[in-house]
Amino acid sequence: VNLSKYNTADYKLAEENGWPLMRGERGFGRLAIFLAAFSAAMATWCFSIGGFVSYYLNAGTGTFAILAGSLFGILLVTLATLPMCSKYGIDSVVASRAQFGHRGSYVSMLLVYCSAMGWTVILFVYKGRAIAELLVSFGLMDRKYHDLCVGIVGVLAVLLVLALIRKGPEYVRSRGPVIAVLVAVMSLVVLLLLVQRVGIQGVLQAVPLAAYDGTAGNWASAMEVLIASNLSWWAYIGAIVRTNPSARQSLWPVVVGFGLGVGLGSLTGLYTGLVVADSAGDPTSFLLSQGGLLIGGLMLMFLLVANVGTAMMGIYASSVAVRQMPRANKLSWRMTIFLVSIPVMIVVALFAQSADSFFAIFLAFLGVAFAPVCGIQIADWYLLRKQRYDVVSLYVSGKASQYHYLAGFNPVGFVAFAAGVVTYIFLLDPVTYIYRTPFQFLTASFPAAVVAGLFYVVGVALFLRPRGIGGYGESVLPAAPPRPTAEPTADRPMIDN
Amino acid sequence: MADDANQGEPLTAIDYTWFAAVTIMMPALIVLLGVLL
Repeated sequence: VNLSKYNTADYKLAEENGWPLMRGERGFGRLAIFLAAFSAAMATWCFSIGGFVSYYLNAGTGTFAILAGSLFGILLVTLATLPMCSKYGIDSVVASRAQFGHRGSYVSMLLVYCSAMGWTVILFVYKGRAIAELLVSFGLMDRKYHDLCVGIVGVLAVLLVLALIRKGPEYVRSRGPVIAVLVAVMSLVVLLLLVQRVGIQGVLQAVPLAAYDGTAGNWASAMEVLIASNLSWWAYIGAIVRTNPSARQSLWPVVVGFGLGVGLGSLTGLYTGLVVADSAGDPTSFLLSQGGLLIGGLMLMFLLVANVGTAMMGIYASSVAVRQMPRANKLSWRMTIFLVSIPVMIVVALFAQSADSFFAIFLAFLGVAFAPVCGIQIADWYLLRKQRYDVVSLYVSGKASQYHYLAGFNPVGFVAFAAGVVTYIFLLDPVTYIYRTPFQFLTASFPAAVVAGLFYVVGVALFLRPRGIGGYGESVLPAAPPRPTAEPTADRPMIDN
Repeated sequence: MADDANQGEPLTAIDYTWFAAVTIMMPALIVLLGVLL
């Protein structure tokens, strides 16, 4: 294919609307992939992740659990996204059409939207807390209005972010590394202040806040937090690795970038959660009480700037995902970002006083939703499709596509997904966090992924392959498949499987 | 039209081996070490 006739605008179009990126169009190198991964992961939500671990383990064992859980989570989500997204230059939602069908992949899109919005809600709550602490510290507000202030500031912050990104997607680009550096500096300062307050021994001797009786249950719970958090990078990894021409080049930057980003930030949250009572890893109050108005205030300003930037990227990513829905791409950019943000404003206002409860439910949602998806995709890619997709079928809608299944939905995919969800909920109640054996030995995400994958393989063998549906066995494609019809504005080259 | 030149370079067996070592064996050892300590 002669690429010379396609200009830069076409490549950007491909990036925005989800078309496959040709190898020659992929401009990200190893460093760019690492920075994108690191800056996506290294945000203030890591404090909440680490804070959750402090319920179960002390500083020593918690450090080990965070590192191990982070790597286990990366294992699942990388295998489910990197090989196919990198091979074909497609994003994760498009890749999931092979397992869920064209219309079925809207469910993947919804999961992506919910996960991005969930993380964004946490950021807005942190923003509200930072402003509230500053107002209390400067004597401008009584502490009894703290929670009300968090809600109001959180909603106002959503409007501020909307005002910043209303000009369009270009404004959002290239801010990730700066944010990651701000959060890294803040983490370091928090660690130093913790050591200043209680010493290294004090940190090491602090006891977990709500540990189970059994050691195994505490380890599994702590690692499950990290596994579930890392599963939420499902969409991010696809979006990042499709911009690099080689899976081999992307692999380690993704593993190290996401692993290191979440790991470092979470450790700060863990130690803060253990040392600072009732903080759940959130250092905003502690920063002012220990660092004073100068250092504490400066760090809270860091937090505000970093969170505004991360939230901008979260709302941007969600808006781009939503615009791939039918008819949604006819909305103006401003209307899209406004509609996308309405649920965030509602949740921020409702959960401002109980952000920790929201985070617990959100974490369980991540595991419940993404572990089965990962299991299905891994099983399909490696066991059923021999590491090949029919790329044309990913983009052609209707019966001409191998992935049309039943009216655009793959029933086998959804039954397998449901089996994974039931497995997860059986092993770990997402509301009460009470677990059942063998959760303490296997966690909940891994069994959910394995069960979903098994159901998918068996379902394909029993129902789809004998009928030649879904590209399994006999192909149902006509000899000359039509070109994609979903509004290409440039005559883009095609890649085959 | 087949056009392998437009596809990304895939992972090799060596990549998968190292990936398994880092994301399965290493965390398993970390857990073991953490429990023993």
